[in-house]
Amino acid sequence: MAVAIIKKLLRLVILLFAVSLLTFLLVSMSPVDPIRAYIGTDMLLVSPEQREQIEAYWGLDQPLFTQYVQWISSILSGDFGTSLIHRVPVTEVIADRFFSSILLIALAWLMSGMLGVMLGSVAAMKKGSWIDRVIRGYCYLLLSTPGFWLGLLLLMVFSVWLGIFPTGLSAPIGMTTGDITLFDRLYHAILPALTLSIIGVANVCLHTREKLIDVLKTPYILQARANGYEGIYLFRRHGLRNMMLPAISVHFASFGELFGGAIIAEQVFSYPGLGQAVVDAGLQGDIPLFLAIVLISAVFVFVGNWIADILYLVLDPRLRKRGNKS
Amino acid sequence: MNTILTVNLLSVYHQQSEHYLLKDISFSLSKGQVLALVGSSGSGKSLLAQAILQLLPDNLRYKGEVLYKGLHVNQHDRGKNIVLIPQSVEALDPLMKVGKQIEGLIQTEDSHQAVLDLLMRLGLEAETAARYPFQLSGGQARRVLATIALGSPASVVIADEPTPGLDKEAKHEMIALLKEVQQAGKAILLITHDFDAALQLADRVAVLSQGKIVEVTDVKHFSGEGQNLAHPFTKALWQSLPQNFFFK
Amino acid sequence: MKKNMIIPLFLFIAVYILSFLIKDTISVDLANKNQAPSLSHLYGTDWLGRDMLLRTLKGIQLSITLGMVTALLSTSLGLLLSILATVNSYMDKMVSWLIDLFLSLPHLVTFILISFVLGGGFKGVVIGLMLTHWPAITRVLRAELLQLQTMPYVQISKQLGKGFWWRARYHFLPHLFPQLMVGFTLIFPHAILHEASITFLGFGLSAEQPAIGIILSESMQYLSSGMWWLAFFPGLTLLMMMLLFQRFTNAFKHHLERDRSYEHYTNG
Repeated sequence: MAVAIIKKLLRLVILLFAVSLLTFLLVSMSPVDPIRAYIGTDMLLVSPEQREQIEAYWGLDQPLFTQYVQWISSILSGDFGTSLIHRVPVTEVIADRFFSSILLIALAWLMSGMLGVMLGSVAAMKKGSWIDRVIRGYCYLLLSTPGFWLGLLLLMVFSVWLGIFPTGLSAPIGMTTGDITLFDRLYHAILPALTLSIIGVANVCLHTREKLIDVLKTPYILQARANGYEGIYLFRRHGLRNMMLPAISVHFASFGELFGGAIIAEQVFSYPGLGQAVVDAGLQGDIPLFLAIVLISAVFVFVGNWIADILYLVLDPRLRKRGNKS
Repeated sequence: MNTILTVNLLSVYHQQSEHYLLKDISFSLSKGQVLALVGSSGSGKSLLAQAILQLLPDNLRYKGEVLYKGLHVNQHDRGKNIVLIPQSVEALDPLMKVGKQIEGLIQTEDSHQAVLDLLMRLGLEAETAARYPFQLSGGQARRVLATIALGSPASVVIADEPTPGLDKEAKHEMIALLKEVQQAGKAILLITHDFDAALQLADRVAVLSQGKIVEVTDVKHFSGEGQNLAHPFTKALWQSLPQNFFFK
Repeated sequence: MKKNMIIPLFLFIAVYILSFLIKDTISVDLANKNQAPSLSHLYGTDWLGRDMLLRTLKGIQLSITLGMVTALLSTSLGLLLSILATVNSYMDKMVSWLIDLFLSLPHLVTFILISFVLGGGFKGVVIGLMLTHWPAITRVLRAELLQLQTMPYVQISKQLGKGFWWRARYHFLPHLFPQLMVGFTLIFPHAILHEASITFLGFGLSAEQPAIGIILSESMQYLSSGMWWLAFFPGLTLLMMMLLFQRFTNAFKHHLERDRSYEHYTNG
């Protein structure tokens, strides 16, 4: 089992190198001028000589490959460079926002996971009934809903009309970082997390439903029913344990979508997380920050897929025992 | 009479096409009796078991009567009064330990001890209870499945193809086991295409062909050239047994 | 059964065609600006007095056009790459690795990256959508093709000396056609929603274009002043169009699968 886990990790490292190289090449091909992004509106005051000096200082006059090697080796030593728009080290910008984003994503992941598995199970157990149709209808409705529009609606209803939730930021304005309590953070994360999980429920729910329906078709379920198990007892005894592993795995594998959803939710609710940072960095040409967040998102997606794979090795007795033998 | 299970003009048909898979099946079963239902694969034998237990797939419907001690069978009879010995190991939940699965079938005070007793009677080690189905050998799994018949309080046992795929010795054991069940006073409906096993166990044999019972006859009529058998299909079946080849 | 398929598709196409009747520039009418929905302006008007219904329909038109172009391109790219994957095991590894590589970033991040490089606009959006949507369909097609290749009749053709492209044309394509259709119908709405999202974020179509994403991101500034209709109706219309198409897709898939749809061992 340990071998399998290490092999997977090795693949992560190779993939990350490929992603970093590809991203770096793409970004250097872009028409975005990092010096202009750095200087901003004062660009007119910069003479060509000064410009060359800056280029030399940043190493932009070096060949592309040398630039990549320099960049990647400084990342490996923990230096992600300096953000052009925030004018502080990238690691600082990210550290600040990482927690906000993780909080948001974790909340949404848990909410949508629990609700989705519940709804999906009910729908599968009552397959073909009105309640199944209602649940499926709800899921299909969500799959067709633009996430940012749903966010806008929630923002209108809860923040503008009812005034229950704040319109933005992960903490009240005017407070220093030290004053922000976990409660404040949570309070500001609720609406964006709600948006994310409402949308996220659909996938989990439909997957759970499908898995459980497959399970219900198996001979062991027929046998369990022949032995007198029905309804909730049948579900608790055989349905749940056989459906849970695939359902959770799929949910872990959805980290990528969740990250994408978080970008949108953070933008709608002006919630200062990684998603908002990557949008700003992309729009304003902040290449060091942008590259760093791209890499983080790749790690994030991989970890999700990795956990999804590992779960089977750890939890499924068939794979677990086999893995221990070899 | 001691009739426990009565099946009266039972038909199973496809809901949309109204195509009949089983037509007008009738028989009755008394205490301590074994009725073998034989027929080739695909003759709808397993559907009969599902129809009696009212566990037909969604797209199939049935009509006719199934009575347990004179009352219509409903889902509360399953496991309690009528029990099914399944065809294959796949009838065991792959993610549940064997002991726990057997425990769910027998409703006694000390079910843990009861499980160990059952396993011992079948010549299985006590550790088997802590194993998952995939860790059992084919023969072990068959025996675990047979605990259903031994351990369940039900008085009607439907055995759906309990013998195919077993080696000679295992098959012999299985037949002995079912005989034991019969001697305990339970009624057995043996559904099989293993004609040989049917003749060893059954009192009566019902022959199923193309969804209909063509003949129900006493087991002793299967002798000689089959001159006591009424239906040509039954005769053909009898004559196709290896030991009867020379009659042809 | 057939009706389920045709009516939603018909309505969907009707809206699309109808939107072409609208002039490209929607007249500015400052006297009637910021109007709430009424009979003369069903969706209300914006801060320049433009009718929101017309703007929305124009946006929908653009979305559908973009969706069709990208769905077509992604499906073609998927087909091409999946056929390439069957050439030999080396190519297969390459294609699989490319799929992994493209799936290793969240769609939206890949998209922002591509828009960063190409600078957004129609071309950027189409290329971005194409590059983010091909892996899913390629994966399905590749698996299907790998299985097809082991089929006896394909092996026989090979031994009879039929070339690779002959087999692709006569064995693979007819078999893949339903998959391609399903792939197209799945990518199409997905691409539309994605386009709206990234345009909303500022990486997609430029602000002059009448896109739903632009309309909705503009509406953000007016939410706190209570002009709810600016966001509500355009989004709702997009949602309705997506639902219409989904009805068609579901009926279509059901139509394709009807032979395999019979189910075992379930009662509940």
